[in-house]
Amino acid sequence: MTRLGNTPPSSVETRAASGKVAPAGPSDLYASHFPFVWRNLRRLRVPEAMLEDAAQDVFLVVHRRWQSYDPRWASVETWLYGILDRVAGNYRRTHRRRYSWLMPWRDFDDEVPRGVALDAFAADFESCHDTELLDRLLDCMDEKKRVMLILVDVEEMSVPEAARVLGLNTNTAYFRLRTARQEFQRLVNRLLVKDIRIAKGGRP
Amino acid sequence: MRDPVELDDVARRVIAEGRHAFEPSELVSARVRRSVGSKLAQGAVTPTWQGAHGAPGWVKVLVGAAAASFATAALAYAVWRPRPAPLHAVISTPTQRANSVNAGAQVLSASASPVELQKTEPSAVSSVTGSPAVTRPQPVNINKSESLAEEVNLLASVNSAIQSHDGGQALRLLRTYDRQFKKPQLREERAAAGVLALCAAGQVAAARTEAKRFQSTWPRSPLTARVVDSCIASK
Repeated sequence: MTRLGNTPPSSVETRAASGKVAPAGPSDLYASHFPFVWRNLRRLRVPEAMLEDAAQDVFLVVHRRWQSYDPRWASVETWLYGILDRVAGNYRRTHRRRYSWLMPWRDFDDEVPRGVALDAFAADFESCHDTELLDRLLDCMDEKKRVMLILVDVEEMSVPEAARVLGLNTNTAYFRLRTARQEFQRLVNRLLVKDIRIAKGGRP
Repeated sequence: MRDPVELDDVARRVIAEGRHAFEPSELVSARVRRSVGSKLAQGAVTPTWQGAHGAPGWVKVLVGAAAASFATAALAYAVWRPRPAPLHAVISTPTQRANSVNAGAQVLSASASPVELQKTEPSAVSSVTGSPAVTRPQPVNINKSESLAEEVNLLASVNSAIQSHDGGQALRLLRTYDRQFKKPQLREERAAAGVLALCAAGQVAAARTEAKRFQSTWPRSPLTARVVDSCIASK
């Protein structure tokens, strides 16, 4: 079996643009970033059943493109996110093409329509675990704002890095982050109000 | 513009608690790692979105040149190729026609494209000979994409029948599908449609059996949810 990562870009560990130590090769990258790839593929709405295949494709691309990665220009997360975003797009399209004929009433572009998501979420809010809250709230957000919030607040990238991933002007990225945070805060506040009502024994 | 609003403590806590939710298990991580390793061992596997960018420049030039010369040759052939005289113009008497049909069919099957085969054979041959005993060339060369399109169309009709709760029609269409496509490319979809059609026809027990078979054959299918949510879930 071929070992992942026998072709490091340089013989010594390189300091990445973000100041973190860049992985020495795809093998190290796999060990350190598989969870990052997995959870972001999931948040980019790759269907659950296709997650493993999509993660596999991401690391095949990583292996092929490792030589082109320059840690002085971008952090490994930025580079990796660019790859997984494209792979996720491919899988979403495949899924839509393949299954839309069988379930024509479902909107495959927006797996859970936002209004429905929030209503459904509000209905079973009490049974929702704290760890699920974030993803359930993200599902209720506009796609562009959602991705920006994921990159900056969830994955803790800097705004210029997120701007590079999304191909945005830095000012546009700051503006989008602002609106994304406002929307997220609104959603949290709505749930907070509901939580208080439940605690007081009233109807949610 | 560089002062994005700050989230309050509650929102920040929600993010902190959910940041690492749904992490993959060690088992999944090891499984994907093994698959990647074995694919790399089999040779470079290129996911579709970046195939062309990965090729070296000289390969792209060669491929481009080959494609251009092929297109030119094909165009030249299309313009200059000799057109055969129509069958009815060459054959004069009914006997001659009858004798020549088989020969013509053989020539066609050896040289003509599938589309030409389908265009020329059925009505022309029967009207010329007037005899049902004449052997027709079979349109066996339907290419794969045409066949796939037919499969999709037929399954779409099945789906329409299911949606209008006409289970009988859906099952009839599925039988046609099974007869028509001996090696279907949409087996998974056909199997899922089978369960839904049985549900629409009120055959819950049969639907349950089919659903079990579906789940054991394609345990990770995205259609599983649809199959499980069908009538088999109601009891």
